[in-house]
Amino acid sequence: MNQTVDDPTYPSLFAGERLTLARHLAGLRKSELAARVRKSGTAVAAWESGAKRPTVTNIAELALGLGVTPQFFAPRGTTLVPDGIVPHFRSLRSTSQKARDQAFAYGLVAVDIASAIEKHVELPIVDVPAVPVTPEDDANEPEEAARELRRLWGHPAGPMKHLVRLLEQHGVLVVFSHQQTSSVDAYSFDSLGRPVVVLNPAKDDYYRQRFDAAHELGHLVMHQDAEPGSRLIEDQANRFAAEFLTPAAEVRGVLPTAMGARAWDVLGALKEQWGVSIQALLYRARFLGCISDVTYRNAMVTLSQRGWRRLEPGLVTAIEQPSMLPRSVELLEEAHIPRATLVDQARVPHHLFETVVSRTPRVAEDELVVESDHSGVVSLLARTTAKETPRTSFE
Amino acid sequence: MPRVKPGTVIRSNLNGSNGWSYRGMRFITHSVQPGDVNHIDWAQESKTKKAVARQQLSSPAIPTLFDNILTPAQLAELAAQDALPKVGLPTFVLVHALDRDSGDRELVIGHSRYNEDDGAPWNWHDSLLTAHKPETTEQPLPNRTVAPSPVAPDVPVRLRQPAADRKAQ
Repeated sequence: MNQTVDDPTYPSLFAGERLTLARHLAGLRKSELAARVRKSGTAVAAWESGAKRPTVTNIAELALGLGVTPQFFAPRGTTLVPDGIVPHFRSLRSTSQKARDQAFAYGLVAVDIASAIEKHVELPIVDVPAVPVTPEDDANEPEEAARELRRLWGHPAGPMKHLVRLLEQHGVLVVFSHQQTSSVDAYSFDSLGRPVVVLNPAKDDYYRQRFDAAHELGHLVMHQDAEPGSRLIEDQANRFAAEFLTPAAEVRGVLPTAMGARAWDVLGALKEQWGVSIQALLYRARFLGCISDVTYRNAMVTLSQRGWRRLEPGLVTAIEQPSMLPRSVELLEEAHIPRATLVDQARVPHHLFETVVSRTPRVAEDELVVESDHSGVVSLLARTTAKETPRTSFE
Repeated sequence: MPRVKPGTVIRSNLNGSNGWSYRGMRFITHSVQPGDVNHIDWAQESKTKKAVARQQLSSPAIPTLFDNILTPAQLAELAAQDALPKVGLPTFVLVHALDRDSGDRELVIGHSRYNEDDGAPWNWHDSLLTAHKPETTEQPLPNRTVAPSPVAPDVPVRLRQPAADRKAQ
């Protein structure tokens, strides 16, 4: 499909929400985009809301200003993510709205890519039951939800072998976020097609990543109708993750009850057995009443003195990797359906496609123009002009 | 000991001090007389060793999920202990000593502390030669026969019919 800005069909191929998506990916406010294309903020707002339609020249300028092809702005046939869906972000206070908008936009791009791939490939059927909990602190509902999910998924007692694969087997789309958005912790949201979990690539810690994945699973299972971001909601997801990974009935008897040197050896061994961090196990031991608050706090100080708050000792250094999209792309290439076709069908920038379908977090900082403002949000779209000018047509 | 992939430990000297780095952390060497590991006066050592002992907080640690029950004072204490250097990478010191007569060796790794105050020369340190012997206790170490692993087969996906036909052609 060869189309250029000169193509007469372009004026009719513009959807305001696609401009919003591109602007969020670029990490820009409306006023900042307006300045970049030398138009008013009101004009940008009107284009995004659909109140006004940009001219062909406007579209070309927006495409150049944002680092996307004009075709990026073409409307999608269907809305994959319902209006009003807000992802579950942690630490809302420490993450700017701009960074969250950018992270969510990246998640939407991942949904677009999965949707394009799913036209050619049968992906696992979505099987994430809703086990809603009440927004109250006093019940054991998060723990019950975790036990219920283990039962519904038919998981035997014992450790979870591979969290990311377990999620994928039940239809959850798991991707790594872009390195440039790594200030945003892992997050999740539900799309009409399939639920999405976006993992933070900067953590590089097998044990913490597993807890993150279980935490996001907790949101998907318990909080489909809950207002994201509150302390209570986050605590519930942590409690879900703790029970899902280390069921009380199985670990209560083996967690240490006092913190001698032997206790640290036990924690180190439990860490490898259950695949969760020592910090998570200490938190678990306190939650289950095996150790007191004072013992917990002292243990945290000891752990910090050993430098383990940053980097705990652990045998596993590789992190869990997603396989659903990477395997699908491999399969399609074997069937002579090249990546370029998928990029074209998903209508996303090529380098974002590669990041989304990668098995490992991609380090591609040299691809990006680092023009961060004080917010620390860097565009995911703009490419270094020295290497490559933004393309105005699909090849 | 955990296995380390080849090529992941790289030479990383700091000024004139021998050093290596691994996963974003550097280790530099320092020799002492036998028995002096706990009596180093970093204030009298080279500029490099002083800088390492005075490593300042350069960025806060990624907040963990487990900080929320700590008091502000405890959090501040933890943050201070998370201190990172302005010597490029978080840098630890590998201290070695050899008694030529007896052949006794010492090999200690730690986070050095600038002890101008005549205090301890270490925030923490650990001997690499004296293996920690487990204390005897009734509580057994859990067995690890069912340990989780980051290795797993790919999730099953298959081509839809038209694409499969295309492959068959």
